[in-house]
Amino acid sequence: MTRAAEDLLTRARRGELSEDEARRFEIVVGSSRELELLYEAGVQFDAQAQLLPGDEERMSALVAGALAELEHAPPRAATSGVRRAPRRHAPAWRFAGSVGLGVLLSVALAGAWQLAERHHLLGAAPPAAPAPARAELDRSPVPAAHRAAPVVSSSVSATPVEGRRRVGVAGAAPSSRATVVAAEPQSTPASPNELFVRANEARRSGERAAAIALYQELIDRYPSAVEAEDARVLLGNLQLGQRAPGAALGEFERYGDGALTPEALWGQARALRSLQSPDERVVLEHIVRDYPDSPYAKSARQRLLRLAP
Amino acid sequence: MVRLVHKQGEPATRLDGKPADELLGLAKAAGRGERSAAHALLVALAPHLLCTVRSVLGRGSSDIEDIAQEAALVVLRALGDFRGESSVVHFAKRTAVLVAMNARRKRAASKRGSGQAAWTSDVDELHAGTGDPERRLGQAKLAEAVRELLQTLPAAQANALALHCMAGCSLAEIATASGAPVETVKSRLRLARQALRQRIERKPVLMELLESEP
Repeated sequence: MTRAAEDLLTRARRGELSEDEARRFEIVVGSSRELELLYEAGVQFDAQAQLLPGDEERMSALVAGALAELEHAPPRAATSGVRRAPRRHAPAWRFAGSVGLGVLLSVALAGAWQLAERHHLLGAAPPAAPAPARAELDRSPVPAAHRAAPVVSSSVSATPVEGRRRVGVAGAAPSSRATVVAAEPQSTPASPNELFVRANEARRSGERAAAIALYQELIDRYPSAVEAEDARVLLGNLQLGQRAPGAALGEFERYGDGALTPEALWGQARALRSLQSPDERVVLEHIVRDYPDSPYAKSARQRLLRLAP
Repeated sequence: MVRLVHKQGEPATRLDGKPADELLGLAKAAGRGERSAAHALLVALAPHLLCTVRSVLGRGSSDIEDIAQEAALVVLRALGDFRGESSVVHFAKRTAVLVAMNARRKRAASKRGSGQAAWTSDVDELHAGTGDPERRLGQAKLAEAVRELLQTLPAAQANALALHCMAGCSLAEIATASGAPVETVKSRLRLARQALRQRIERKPVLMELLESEP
């Protein structure tokens, strides 16, 4: 079989040419400037495809983020290309029911709104100031100092964060830690999955402060949710990026035994290194001993050599 | 649009006739939803995804990590349909190229109005090559020229060029990824390489650098 010239270039780059093909390759590249350029460009891209300093952290975040999202986020048809089961058509009575319910709700809401306006006009106590838009709140920076310590004791008098209100959660939330929540309508609290998806979206769109706040909110509101467990590693990675190694260490340490354990341990080691803690060695040894096949083992060994007295 | 759905019933053999892919077992297990397999596979693929996305976006791009993660998700979700037409690594690399190309287009569209460059220049990639410095500079500039070209070529040609240059895909692999016949892919690549030559010929300095003896 005679291979196309382009495939000869590909095989040459992969080092898979037979002797005959190698001869043909020389002829093809020698006789066509275009093919030669194409080959040279490919070789250059192959040469560039090497890991750079800092890539271990990037890969760690990549693995943790992708696994966590895979588990919790709904598949996205636009990019996944994964076939889904055909959606069954809802029966007509369900459609009619939905419309009817919608009309009823609209009427009820309109009535409530008119009632509220009337109260206001009659001098009743003014309604609470409207809650700021969620997106606006999410974008507000959350100072790292508020999360510097791994554990924040529950306190109603905790320092308020600009643009948010810090809610004392004693008896209200399952966590003993103070919860940072955005002021939002009380009627429909976001589910763990919703919070997780929103946090991931914020992280992926570069809104790191918003992502941190949302992961934090998820962990504080639903500490035993499956999503909260993975969120700890993602949050820790973000906090490391925000130069808050103390807070990051706390999150990595609180991660239980799961699929992201190597990532959590590597995160601990990075945080401890930032904190110049001698415990870094212990964690690195743990990685080398218990996760020798993980992508962090090699870096951990190298770091241990550097730490040697 | 990224096309990753593979035809049913295609042979589970590798195009290059090499022994079974060592990652294939992991990929199948991950495709069945085994989380530990997905984890191990991701660990193995992460360097390829990261490097491929970096090739497409340029080293100075700020969102390499996010796009690589998006590519990882697309790979994991598409594994159920992966039939082993190529190695798992090449499957991941071509997926990464397509996801990164989509991101490039979105970025270019959003920055067109602002007049900002849609990618970053990568002269710092100079160290990547071997041989004399002049030629290496020429090669680094050539890679940059390919990235520039991706901005101006029609989408189908740009994808074919990126898959060939950056993911090292064969014609058949590009055809599988793009859902086009091999002859069409060949034609797209021919047009793309003509455009590359014309672009380079307009840059005498680059021509000179590339023609220096290795």
